[in-house]
Amino acid sequence: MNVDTTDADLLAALRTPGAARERAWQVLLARHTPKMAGVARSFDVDRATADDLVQTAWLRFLERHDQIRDPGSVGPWLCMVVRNEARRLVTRRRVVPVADGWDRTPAELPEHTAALTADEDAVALRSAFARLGEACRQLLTLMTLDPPLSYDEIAAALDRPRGSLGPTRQRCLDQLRKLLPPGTEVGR
Amino acid sequence: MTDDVSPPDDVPSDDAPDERDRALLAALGRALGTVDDTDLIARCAGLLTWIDVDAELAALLERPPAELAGTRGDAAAADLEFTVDDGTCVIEVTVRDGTVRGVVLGVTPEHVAVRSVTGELHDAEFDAVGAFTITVPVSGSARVELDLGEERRIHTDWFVI
Repeated sequence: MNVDTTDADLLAALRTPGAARERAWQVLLARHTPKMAGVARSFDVDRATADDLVQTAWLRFLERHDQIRDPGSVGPWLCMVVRNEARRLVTRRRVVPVADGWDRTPAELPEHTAALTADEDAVALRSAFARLGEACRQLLTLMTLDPPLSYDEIAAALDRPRGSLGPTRQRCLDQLRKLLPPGTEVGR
Repeated sequence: MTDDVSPPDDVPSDDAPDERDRALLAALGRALGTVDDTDLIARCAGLLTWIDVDAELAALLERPPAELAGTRGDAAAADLEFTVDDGTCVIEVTVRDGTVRGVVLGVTPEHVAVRSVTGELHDAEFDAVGAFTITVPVSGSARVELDLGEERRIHTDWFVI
């Protein structure tokens, strides 16, 4: 059992007692936790809240994994659970802790129009990104995660049809470009 | 983060970002940064043992497994609504500032409690119509547990306090 083992095989191992069960659990955790955390953080919650969302989703998985009909859909299933719980949390909390390190207001941008340095590009990108609408910020966040989410996982995380992701991504990137200051080299 | 953002494996070929968009996505990914989830993975690793011990304890006490009340969409008057498969019990839950309020519909519980993932059980006060309130001193994952007597127990899906 290794990182190449399919989720279907890991689910089967998880349903058997013994060391294989523990090993399958470790591989599933390593494979999906970063993606789930990315989905949770895309709701602009702080890190502790995102961690709670991920933990809750894993608990639900452990109690319900024998009900997952398509073993290949574990990733989207987990992303969906994180999304549902995150939405409820965001809805019921009047003030949601905002993610650390995100530039929520436009930064002071350089006045000059000469080519920006890489660091300045990053600042300009973060500033432009912060001025995008919530839906675009969330989609682009999910599309830039490392390790990357599959389209099925992104669709599950957003509760949107797969077919809408490409056109929406295009619109969001176009908006992002328009918000970048002159001189920004990247993505032009 | 790599220098390139390859489209996911399952992206339709006519939907894949072009080179310019991939460069912008990659730069954005670098600008937003990555988060090390090693600690989170370590924190979740113990959940399997926790679930197993919970089941083994129930078996040791020769108690039937508790029925799971699953989330059934958003309730009109509560944050969460849980329903057992046969529909005989509905639990509505609202969480505000660490206080869990709810009502049990369809059955009369003998005992209502909120269990946190750390294993702590917090007893709730409840009235004749099944309304309960409890302040839970910890945040994180939790669930409501009902003891209905006559060997019947119910617990909700996990949710975040």
